[in-house]
Amino acid sequence: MVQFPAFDALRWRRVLTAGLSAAAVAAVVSACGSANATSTSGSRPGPEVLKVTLTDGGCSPKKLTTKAGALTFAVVNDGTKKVSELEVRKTDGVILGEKEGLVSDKHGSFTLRLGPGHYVLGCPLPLGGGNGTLVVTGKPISVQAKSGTKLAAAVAAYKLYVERQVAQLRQGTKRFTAALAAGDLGKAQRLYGPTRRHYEAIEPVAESFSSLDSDIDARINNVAPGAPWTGFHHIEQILWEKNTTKGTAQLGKTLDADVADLQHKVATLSYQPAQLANGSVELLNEVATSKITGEEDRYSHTDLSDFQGNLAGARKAFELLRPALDANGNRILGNTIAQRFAVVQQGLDRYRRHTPLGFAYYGALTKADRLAFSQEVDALAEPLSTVAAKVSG
Amino acid sequence: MATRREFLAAAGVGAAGLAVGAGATAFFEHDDGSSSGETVPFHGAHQAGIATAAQDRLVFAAFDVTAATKGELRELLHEWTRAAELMTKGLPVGPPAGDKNAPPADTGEALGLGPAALTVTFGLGEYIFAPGRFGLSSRRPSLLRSLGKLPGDELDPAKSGGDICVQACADDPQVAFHAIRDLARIGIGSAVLRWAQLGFGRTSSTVSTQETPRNLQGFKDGTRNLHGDNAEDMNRFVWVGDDEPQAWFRGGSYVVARRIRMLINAWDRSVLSDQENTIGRFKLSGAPLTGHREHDPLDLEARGADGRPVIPANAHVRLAAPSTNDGAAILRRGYSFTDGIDAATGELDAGLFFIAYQRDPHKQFAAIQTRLGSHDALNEYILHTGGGLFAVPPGIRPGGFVADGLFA
Repeated sequence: MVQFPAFDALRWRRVLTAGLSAAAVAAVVSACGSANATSTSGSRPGPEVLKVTLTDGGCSPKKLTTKAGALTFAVVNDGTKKVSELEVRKTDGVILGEKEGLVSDKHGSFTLRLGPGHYVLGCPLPLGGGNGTLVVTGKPISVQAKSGTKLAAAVAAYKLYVERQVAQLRQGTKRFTAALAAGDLGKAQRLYGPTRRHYEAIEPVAESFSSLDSDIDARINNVAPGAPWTGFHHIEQILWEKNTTKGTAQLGKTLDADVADLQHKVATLSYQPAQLANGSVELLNEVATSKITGEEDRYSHTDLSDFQGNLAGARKAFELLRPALDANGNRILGNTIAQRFAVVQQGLDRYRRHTPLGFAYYGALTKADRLAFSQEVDALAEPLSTVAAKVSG
Repeated sequence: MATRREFLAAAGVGAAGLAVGAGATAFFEHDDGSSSGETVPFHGAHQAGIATAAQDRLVFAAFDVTAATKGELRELLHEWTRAAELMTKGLPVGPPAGDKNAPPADTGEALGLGPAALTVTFGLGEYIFAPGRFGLSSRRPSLLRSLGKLPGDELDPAKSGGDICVQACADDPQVAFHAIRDLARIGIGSAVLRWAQLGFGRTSSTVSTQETPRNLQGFKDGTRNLHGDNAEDMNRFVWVGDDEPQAWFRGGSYVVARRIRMLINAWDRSVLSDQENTIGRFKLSGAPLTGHREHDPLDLEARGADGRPVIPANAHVRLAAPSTNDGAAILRRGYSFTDGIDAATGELDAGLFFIAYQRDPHKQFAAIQTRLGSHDALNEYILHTGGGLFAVPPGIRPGGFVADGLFA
């Protein structure tokens, strides 16, 4: 246990650094997009840092005011057990950025570029309430450009998103496999779900590399006879079915290596706009076929956490494409899809729990909600499936 | 099946094109539903799929409407009508292949299979007209109200009711399936499937030239059915007439669907005479127990040497006969179904998906079923496990859409 604060401090620095460089790149992308782009962050040495404390009463302070541009949210939990995350949302519910899993005395940060307007600081308490308000003033920072430029920005931002998710996956996997090596069953079980969520957010990207997805994420019935079964789910089986870490150390090493391989490979990737759209649909198909059914995490029953990962990844890709959709005459379609994303998220939010996993176990999912989720995901994925053709040249 | 598919695949669009022309005159002319190139006209005074000679295959689906406004409901019915019209001509609902970056507009499994006499028949459930829902409560067809719980009902809510029913009948099972599948897809966001039932073989003859088929109990079913080619009977028993206060609904009908599970194992081990006494007909010939040929009239008065009625007091044909039901008759259009096995017992889960059209479901189906449900000897071998009551709007005009009178 002595080691962990030091490890977390390291993680804190890395996350912050990643946040800073991501914002810098986003600013460059925007600036390249248009000759007359207005960048308010150019006059600053780095993002404005806004401190938010998680308390028994939710967000503190309840109201923040700042200027448009790159903003880093530094979040600290003051010891409360009632809330463990900060989300920055638009008033229509779209999540722009978040830091989850901040249980007592943990801290974390994330960086966003925000234009002027009102935003919600979401620090959801179990019985509701706890949110604050963020008011951003100043000149618009959004870049009005031709559709092609908006798509270029979407693609560049998505690449960053994937790289950050994979970086977090790598960090989480290291902690997870360290727990396996140390024989700490409880800790390994706690880290399993939260680590996987980053993978679930970008799974279609991993699937683009021939065998990496099956090396990392295969279920027992996906493995060819005679072939080795590696990855998260074999470890999951041992941790929950056999209730031990024995026999997982080597699997952990292999998993670490495969995730490192994934990280190296995604750094070399570039994307087409249609891939973002199709990836978004694929993630919803993942929700429908393996999360709502409880197929994915059949031993640990952490499927709803994976569901959140799929949904967040799908929504991110869509939201990045939305400015281009709006610009090329598909604003109504974009509104429909955004509204249906919100419906699914609201349904899933009812299963949030203040536990390390952040969600109820699959067994809590009612039969009626399983049906409702399936139909809501269908209603979302169908219009989403038409986006690819509308953003490909 | 294979032969028909191969023929159509080889003939391609040409066969479908020819059939469109032939279909106009073939409405009541086909006798056994074996020609899958046939087109049943989509437009007319009444919806197709009621008086139409019963096709071989059925997919019946009930949807719940998730659309929130009357305008969205109207749009759904409009889109569904457009798609149904295309499919009944053997055409896809949109390009089955085109933009490589878009999902195909038509799912494609019916390509090359021809129209297969497809009919798509829509019905509206009671709750569509609920006060405060779509603002349609003043337009509710006058007899569209719950039948209540009838004797013998064991209806599973998961297989019952719904806002809109769609009956897709065709001579090719894949054509019928395609119709429901593509309508469900088009409806995504506005309607969700509530339940669906596949029927693999017709159990009714609905025109005078069709032979009476057998149901899964091995008996000829529907010998005394109403016939769609008898206009007088159709007007008397099936079509809603000018006395209907809701002018938009005149020319419509009411459909009652019932998923009737047959307890096959129990039936199969009952002796032949019991089976025949239960139904009131001879198994092989289909003749009534008082006759020799299938279409011989029932003699409900005849008594045997022992002084008892030859057709027993609780025989199915006696209790279902119009003469014992104040003359009430219904147009039956049922199909045999199976849903694999009942996991609890290992028995085949199979039976009759009963469909009946009539102008007054309370005086016709409900009255008959009240007698049957309490006295029918057949009750020992069947369970009513699902179904619904729907108002079937009148026929669709060219350029119009189903139930458009409701929005006028």
